[in-house]
Amino acid sequence: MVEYTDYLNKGVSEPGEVSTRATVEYQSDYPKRSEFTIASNERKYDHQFFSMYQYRFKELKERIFDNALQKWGDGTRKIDGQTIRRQDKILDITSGQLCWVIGTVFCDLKNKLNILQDVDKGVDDVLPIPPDSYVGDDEEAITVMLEDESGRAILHNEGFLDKNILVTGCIVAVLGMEIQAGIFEIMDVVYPEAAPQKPLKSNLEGSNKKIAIVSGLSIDEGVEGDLRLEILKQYLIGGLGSSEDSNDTSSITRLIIAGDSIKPIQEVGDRENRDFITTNNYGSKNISQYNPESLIKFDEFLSEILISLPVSVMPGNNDLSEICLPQQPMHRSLFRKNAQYLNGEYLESLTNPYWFNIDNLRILGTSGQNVDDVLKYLPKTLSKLILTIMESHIKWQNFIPTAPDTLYCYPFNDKDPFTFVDETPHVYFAGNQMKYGSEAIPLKNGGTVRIISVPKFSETGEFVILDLESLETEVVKIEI
Amino acid sequence: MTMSASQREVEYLATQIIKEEKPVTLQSFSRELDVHVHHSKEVLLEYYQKNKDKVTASFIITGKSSKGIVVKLSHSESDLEQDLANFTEIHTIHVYCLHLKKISLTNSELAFEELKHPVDASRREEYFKNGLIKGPVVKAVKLQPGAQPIAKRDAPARTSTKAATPPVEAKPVKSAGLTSSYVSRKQNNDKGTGKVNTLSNYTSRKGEAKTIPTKRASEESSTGYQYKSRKQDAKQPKERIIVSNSNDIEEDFEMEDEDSVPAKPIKSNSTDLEKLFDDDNFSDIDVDEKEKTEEPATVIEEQSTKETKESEDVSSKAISEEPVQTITETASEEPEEETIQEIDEDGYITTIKKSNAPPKPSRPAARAKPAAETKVAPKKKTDGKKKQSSLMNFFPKK
Repeated sequence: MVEYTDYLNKGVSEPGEVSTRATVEYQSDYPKRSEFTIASNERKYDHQFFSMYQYRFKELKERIFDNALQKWGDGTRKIDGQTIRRQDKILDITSGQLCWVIGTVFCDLKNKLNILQDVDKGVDDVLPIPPDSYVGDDEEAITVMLEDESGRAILHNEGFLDKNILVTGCIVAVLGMEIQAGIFEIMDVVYPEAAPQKPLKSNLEGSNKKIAIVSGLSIDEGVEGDLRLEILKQYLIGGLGSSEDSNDTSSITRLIIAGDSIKPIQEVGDRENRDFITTNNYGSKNISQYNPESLIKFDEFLSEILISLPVSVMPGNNDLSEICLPQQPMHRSLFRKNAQYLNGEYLESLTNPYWFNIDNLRILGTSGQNVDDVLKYLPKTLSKLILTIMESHIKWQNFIPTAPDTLYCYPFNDKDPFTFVDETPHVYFAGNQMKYGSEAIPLKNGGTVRIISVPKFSETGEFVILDLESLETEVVKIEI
Repeated sequence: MTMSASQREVEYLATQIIKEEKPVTLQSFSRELDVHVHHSKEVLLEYYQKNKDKVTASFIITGKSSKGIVVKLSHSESDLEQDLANFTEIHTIHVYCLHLKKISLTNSELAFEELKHPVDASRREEYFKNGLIKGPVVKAVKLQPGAQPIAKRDAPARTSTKAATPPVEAKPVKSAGLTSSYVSRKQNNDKGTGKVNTLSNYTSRKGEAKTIPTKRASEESSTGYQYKSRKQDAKQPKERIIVSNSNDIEEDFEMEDEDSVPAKPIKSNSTDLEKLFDDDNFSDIDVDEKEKTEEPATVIEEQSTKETKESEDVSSKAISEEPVQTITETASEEPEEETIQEIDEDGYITTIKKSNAPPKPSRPAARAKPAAETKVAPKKKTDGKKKQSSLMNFFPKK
């Protein structure tokens, strides 16, 4: 049994000097910085989403083609006496012929939002509540299809599809055989070649510098503060623990807040019966989802942290930002008294997703909507799937394939910022997840991607610390 | 314990905890007395150990568990042992908060207590001296020099939108000039589309277009009092102006964000809007109808200050136009037998007859116009004949 008295005020001694926080050079100028920024005069919706899919397909097709040709060949290899053929189009697939073809995946699920149904019911101008899962009660009803401009084929092979997640918007090559009209028995899948990674030449050797990532603070509007937030604050600025502890925290160079800092007001009453056709613009239908009180408290939280630690704030699903991905930075007026520091190196309001560049380390971060959305495609929502999904994002070379199908998104014209075109990140994190997780994913062309699932702080009391040199992660749990 | 608390510190603790019955946390103690956090930890522990009979303490345990770093709050000394079981490595244990045994603190009360001692950015150096980790120097970021021109650029941009919007806003006014039930309907049509376009964040517009027109139409037709309804309509542009203003503001906000937002897009936006309304007019309503409605609108715009004059104008006009209303009503009932029968039925006979006679011949001419669908309208303002012919033209269509 540990004797607690041994540890009372252990290592607590007043050092003679002020401990100083580690810093990394602030890089304000790199091309990926504004990857997801859309100028206010360019936030237009008069394009077709098709252009985005077309770009994605065009971009990834060649990278898949090379990989697939290498693996399966075209008339050069045989499986069980059958020669593998390449087909240009889905329409060209002949029944009983072993072949491979490239296309875009489309999942038809029962509970997906459907604008046509909304129009039918007359509620098409009301923002629909996204379902918790797109899969209906009947798990058999999941239909995964592969499509291109020529046609569609239903992919079949349950065991295979359970192991290899395919969701709407992924571009892949599939190997298989049409067993009956329109149904393609899938045997194997090939993903695009990963975009190159920037060489990782760190200047931080042995310096032991870190960043902290927290998400889902969900600051409430209530008068009672969340004690965990207080402890988080005090821990980060070095007020708690021994000298050794504050030494550790002083190596944290920046805090990234990855979305959902504010808790929206819970909707009162069932929405179905609310009066949406009232002519009163100030009535129940237009009640704000936010309480300014929670913003004030968020601001206080920030100013407390900012005393000692630079902060980057990304918007999330529940923050005051638009619903469309990429979410644009939270407006400066939301930062109230901290607005004076905004967009210096001390306090940044960023887009979601965002490409960080910290000492040549490329970190791609999202607030987690992309992972949550893929989870909704799967019959069972399991926390262990989070890392699998994030790994799939890297495999697909697109980290938000389900936009614009099930995630709101700007209609980019001949562009898809969610596809890894010229670069794969070194670190990829998603915020607001059920559970902490971290894994190093090796890439086929060398290099690794560190994927991190950052848990919701409000539910777990956890945040993640990433070592900028070794890319090792550590979770810090605050228990009360 | 090598170090003992100073007189001042003990006194502070005694007054706060015993007298005032308030909790004292590590942070509040350090900030209030301007002492190092590590020193505070020692003082608080010492005080606790000497006053265990009255005072209880909550502790912070830092260390590691199998999963990672853990910062654990233990609510009392008796909990410590149990809480330690989850740790694989313990860094330290220190007091977090002291309070009287008889008051029990919930977590949120404790947090609330902490919020009473917010940071003061001007005391940063003090905090660092007292053990907080010194971060990089905070600099207030001035709005970039580029932002200034934007503000200036704003002005023309805003005026341009304003200049552009009045026509949009004015339209309801125009239609307001006519007080017959038919006119009010048009106005509502306009309104419906206008709002949908300007305010995207409203949840639902459904039903509005349907509900208002019928309501208003019935109201107005029942009163039938021209001047009054005119006034009512005069208010509407105000509302619309507010709407467009709020839109302006939004844009301004966004412009602050972006370094340079040229005024052009906004201009084009507004013109787009205008066009949109124009289109509506053309598609929904006859050209001649528009021409008629435009007349009062210009009056309002130019003489908005001289309301009395305007009202005189209107009333006089209204009188001359009243027949129109009756005509439309009767016309819709008996579209083919226009003139002679009405004279017999109605009390207004004479006036109707006068105004009614001209439309007949002019009717075919009016029909030709909508086919051309051009803005011939404004030129032929005062032509009473054409007004009526246009109305007549509308109803047979339906």
